[in-house]
Amino acid sequence: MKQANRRENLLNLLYILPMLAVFAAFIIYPITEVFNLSVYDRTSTGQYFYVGLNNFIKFIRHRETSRLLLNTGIWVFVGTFFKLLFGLGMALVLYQAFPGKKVMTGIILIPYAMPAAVSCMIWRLMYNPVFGHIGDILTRLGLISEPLNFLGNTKTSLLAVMIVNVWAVAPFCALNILSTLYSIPTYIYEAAKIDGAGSIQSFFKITLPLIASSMRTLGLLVGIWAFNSFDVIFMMTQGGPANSSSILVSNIYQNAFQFNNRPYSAAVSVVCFVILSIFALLYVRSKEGDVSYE
Amino acid sequence: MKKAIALALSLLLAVALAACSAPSDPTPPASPAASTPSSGSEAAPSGDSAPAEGTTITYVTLGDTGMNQLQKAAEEFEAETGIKVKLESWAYSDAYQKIITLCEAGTPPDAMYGFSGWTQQFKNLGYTVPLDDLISQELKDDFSKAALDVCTVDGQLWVLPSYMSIRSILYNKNLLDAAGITELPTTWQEFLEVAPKLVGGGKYAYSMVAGHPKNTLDCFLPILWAYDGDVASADGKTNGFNNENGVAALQVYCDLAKYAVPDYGEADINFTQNNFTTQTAAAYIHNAQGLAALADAGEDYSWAVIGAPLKGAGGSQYSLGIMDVDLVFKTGNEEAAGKWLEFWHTKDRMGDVIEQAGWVPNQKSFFERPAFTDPANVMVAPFAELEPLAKFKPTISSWEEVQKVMADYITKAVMGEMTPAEAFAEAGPMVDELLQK
Amino acid sequence: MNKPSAIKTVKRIFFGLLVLLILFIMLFPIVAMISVSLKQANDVFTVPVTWIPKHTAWENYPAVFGKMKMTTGFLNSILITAASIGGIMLLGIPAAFALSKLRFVMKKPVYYMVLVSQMFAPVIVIIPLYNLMNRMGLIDNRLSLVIMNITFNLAFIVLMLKATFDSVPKETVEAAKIDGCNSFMTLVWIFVPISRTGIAVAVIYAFTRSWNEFLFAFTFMSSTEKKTIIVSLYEVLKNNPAVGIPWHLVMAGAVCATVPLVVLFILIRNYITGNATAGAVK
Repeated sequence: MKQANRRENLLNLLYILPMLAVFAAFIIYPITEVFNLSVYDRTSTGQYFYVGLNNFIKFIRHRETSRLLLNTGIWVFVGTFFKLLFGLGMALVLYQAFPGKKVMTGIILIPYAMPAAVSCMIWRLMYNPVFGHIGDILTRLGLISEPLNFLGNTKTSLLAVMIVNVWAVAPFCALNILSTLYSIPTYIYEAAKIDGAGSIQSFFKITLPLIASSMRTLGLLVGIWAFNSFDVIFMMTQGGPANSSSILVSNIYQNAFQFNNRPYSAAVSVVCFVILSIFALLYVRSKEGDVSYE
Repeated sequence: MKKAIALALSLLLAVALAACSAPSDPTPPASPAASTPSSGSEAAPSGDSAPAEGTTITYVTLGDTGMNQLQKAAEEFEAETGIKVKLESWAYSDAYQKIITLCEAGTPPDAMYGFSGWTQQFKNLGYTVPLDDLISQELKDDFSKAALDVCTVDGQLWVLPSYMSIRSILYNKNLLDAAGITELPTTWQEFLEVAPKLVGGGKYAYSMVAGHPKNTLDCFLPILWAYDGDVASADGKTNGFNNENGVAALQVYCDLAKYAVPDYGEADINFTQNNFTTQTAAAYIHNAQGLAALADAGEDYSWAVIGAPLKGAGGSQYSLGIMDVDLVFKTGNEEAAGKWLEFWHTKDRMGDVIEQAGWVPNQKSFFERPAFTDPANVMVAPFAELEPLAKFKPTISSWEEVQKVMADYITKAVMGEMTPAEAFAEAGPMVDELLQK
Repeated sequence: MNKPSAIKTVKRIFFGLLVLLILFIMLFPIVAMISVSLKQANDVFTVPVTWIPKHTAWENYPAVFGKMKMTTGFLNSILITAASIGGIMLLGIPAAFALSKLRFVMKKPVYYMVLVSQMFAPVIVIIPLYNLMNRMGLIDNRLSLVIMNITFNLAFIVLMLKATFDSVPKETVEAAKIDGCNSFMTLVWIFVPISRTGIAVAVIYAFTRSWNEFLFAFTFMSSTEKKTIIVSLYEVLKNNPAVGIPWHLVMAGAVCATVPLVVLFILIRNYITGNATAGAVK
């Protein structure tokens, strides 16, 4: 019997192996290659030579590095904060019963369903200081007198791209938080009401504590996605002007493909990998105990 | 039954593994240290291989420029030689990144339309081949001297001059008239003095770029040169802009931004073009492309006037020469690619594109086309006249990075993050390092 | 009117305004997109912005497929997406089933690996992946995009499917076993039919993510005839130095590329609020 069990244990592995093979070939192997490449450099004629940790030293010393790290931090943490905040707000609205609720759920799905390339294009057009829609509205409302260039200003470009990202991802947060809200049994609220708790009180005393843990996991996931999101920045500003909207992953791409600085790019990748590993660890811990054992 | 499952699953596994097995094949070792200097070198030119009938070569062009003529030429070429030309079109702004990627992978196209700024780097990396033996002496003699100079490195012709354009300042006469400006400015200082009059009611004096690396330099270099600065010093070892002249030029650029369409931070050359053709900006630096596009669309462009390049403080005057080139890559098909380029570089084929796009011909035989000598043709004659003033971008191995550093600091100065002097004081040493690499 | 009901009315108005504000923010760009897509070329650049086109240019939509040659882009996207979905499901369903209901060696590490593998951005490994594809001769080959889509969506989909399979009672497996079914038959004959809604939702997610994929489609493909719709659209934005950007056509193309996704998502909206994405989030 025990032997049969063991056999089954091994045989069942066959269900998993194809997936593991794909991961091994296209994720794990490339990661080892990136580590390998990061300790080389190239001459102007293209010869590779071993340089040890030189690329990492170059990264630390590089004039733009502090800006990159700061941008990445703002992009990930501030972005995630607002995604969760707006997501929570929308979820609380959708939790109420009101006419047109179904239509609204459908509508807030559109930004999330939209291809990133498409939303970037619309926003680029809308941000245009001359004929863009946002400037138009703000001028009509009398909020600005001079056209503002949101994307083309070193002070606002990161914020402008972040707004697009929040707009696209907040609905996803909203729907996830909403499903958590639905999982809270209503009798808890009823009991609180009998005890005389107002709606604000019951939100802070009941709702928030109950959804906190799933919000944390959601936040981690959304944060990791933000850390990795290269396409929004690439399509809207290419990290510019003057690197003001560059984050680590857009720098990887720029060095690899636009300056042909692959070893250096690999070193930045390794840095990203290490940072992501920390987040991954937190994420796995927040899901600890989720494996169902028979 | 168990066997059936095992069979099914192992089949699945086999499919997946087949997809993954290739990397572990005994192909070149994965370690970058072991790879050859240039991945393309294994396909070194084999001199005796005459392009055989049935060969297919790939030629890459940028944008949609001349696509119709290219398609027609490719058909004629195939009929004549039996060599098939596969045409591809890439976006201008992604061209460098794509070609570098393909060359690194050892799978470049056989020939490509690109920029002269790449010549030195691609030669160093061993991606391209010299063209002296691939094209006929007649074609070589047909090129203008300026064109040949730009394309020659160490006495060898490494790229073929293709489209040349001369850029100068263009004005919108309607907007100038409305502002009461009757005489065109002759210096940048004069332009700055009248610029405030041209701003208002959704109209601006100027359109420029400060952000997009390539296009920022396209817009800034004519000013830098006018103020006697340059990218690199005469010996090419240090920068030529971290000095009084360069800083003065950058100051002009920062001042221009005050009167420019405020989209310069995200703009590329498409935006400036658009600002001029929609009559939003009264002036910008470009060639006749925008006018040609307006003409194509059947719209009136009589309001556009082409001015002489503006002078700097010391009276220097340059127009920006942009030399686009054709490159031939080490693929084993060099001869066929050479033949194709020779076929393409003729007045009825490429000449037609140049006439249509509003560029300046750089082959003597092209002037046999009446349009190029017609003084009434504002697309060509005024620009061709400026050719003696033309200065081309330098040929530097790490050009893309130099360009990026300069553009970043120009942008920082324009955005007011630092003064022009501070910006170039920081950019100077960075460019020095790149030049000495 | 007594006081509590006055407060109630104020609250209701406030709530209504909030709903309108959210709708406004969510819809603003979409309205802008549709508005521009129906404008004529010159109308795009007028100041102040005309929200309702002076002349409704329906001809922009046929022009997307005619003049802008987006048809091949669409076909490529459909082909690549369909193949990717097939691959993801073929590998994902058995894996999710095993993770949910079967015992096998190293189960916990495998589960963690799935969790973690969705975290590493493709950009980080883009150079080795490029070299790998190159050695396999797959650069400028649509198959490379299919493989990449499978690789980078598999984990997410497996977690989604696992959540779906988790909701099927374990007794089902035992009952099937008594009836003489082995685990594979149980999967094919019982789990797949039972979980078809969950699988459909997973398919739609896989669809969206493959359809929207940009990085690899942009980096790996160079032939015009092999580009996906997303890349084709992106390139129109940058590829028109002579005439400026044809925003009206770009937006018409954007609407066309978006409509299928929005329709699909609205079809499955009830499952998104359910536990469809729970696998990744909860």
